[in-house]
Amino acid sequence: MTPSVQFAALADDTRCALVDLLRERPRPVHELAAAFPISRPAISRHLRVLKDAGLIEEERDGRENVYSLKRQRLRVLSTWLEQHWSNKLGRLKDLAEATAPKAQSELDL
Amino acid sequence: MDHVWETLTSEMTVPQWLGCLGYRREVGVTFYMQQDSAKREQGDTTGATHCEVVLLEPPGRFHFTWFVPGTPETMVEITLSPAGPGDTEVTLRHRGWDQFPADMVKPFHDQLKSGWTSGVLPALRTAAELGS
Repeated sequence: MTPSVQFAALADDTRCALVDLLRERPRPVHELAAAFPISRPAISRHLRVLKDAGLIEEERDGRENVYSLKRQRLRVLSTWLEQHWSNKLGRLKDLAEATAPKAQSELDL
Repeated sequence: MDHVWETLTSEMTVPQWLGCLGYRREVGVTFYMQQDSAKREQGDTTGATHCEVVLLEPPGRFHFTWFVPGTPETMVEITLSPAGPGDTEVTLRHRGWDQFPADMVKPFHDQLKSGWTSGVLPALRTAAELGS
């Protein structure tokens, strides 16, 4: 599973800043919108991208939506790359060893 | 080490260890790292990471870009070095993370400090690190 959706979701300055704000504590949407010079619909679009990527969730609190960060998802993402390359190099190693030419001493009769 | 170079870069073996579609041993070729094996069998590249071969320098340097479409290109640099009779050391460095918002790179920094090394094995030792 390549977390390309999460990756694309985070490779954006506004969305990273939103994640940063939510890292501190859950926040209602009006508070998030107030932190940026962009329009409210634009903020909502960014929040939807983050929500669709599974990085944040929203809850109705009284009359407004409150967003919170799914920290476990972020942690998983950060270790994904390391495990990814570890896995690939392991396969390279297995393949090279399985097909390695015989050592010279084995060929001498 | 030539054998490891062949395994690392040949068109027969790269799809096996990288799990990709479209690889050719030629600078400028775009290939797709498709982790979904069902999609890979069908030649479906949706959701795959895009890679472009940037450097093929025998006996030991293989570089390619790595990116999710719409995000900055990062660079994967694989180096082979002799490490004693019959031994090859493989180093993988994945860099370019400083192009991303700092907040995204932060989680990786813990990994950067500790680096990563697999177990030492007789025929092939490997080491990987993520770099900025």
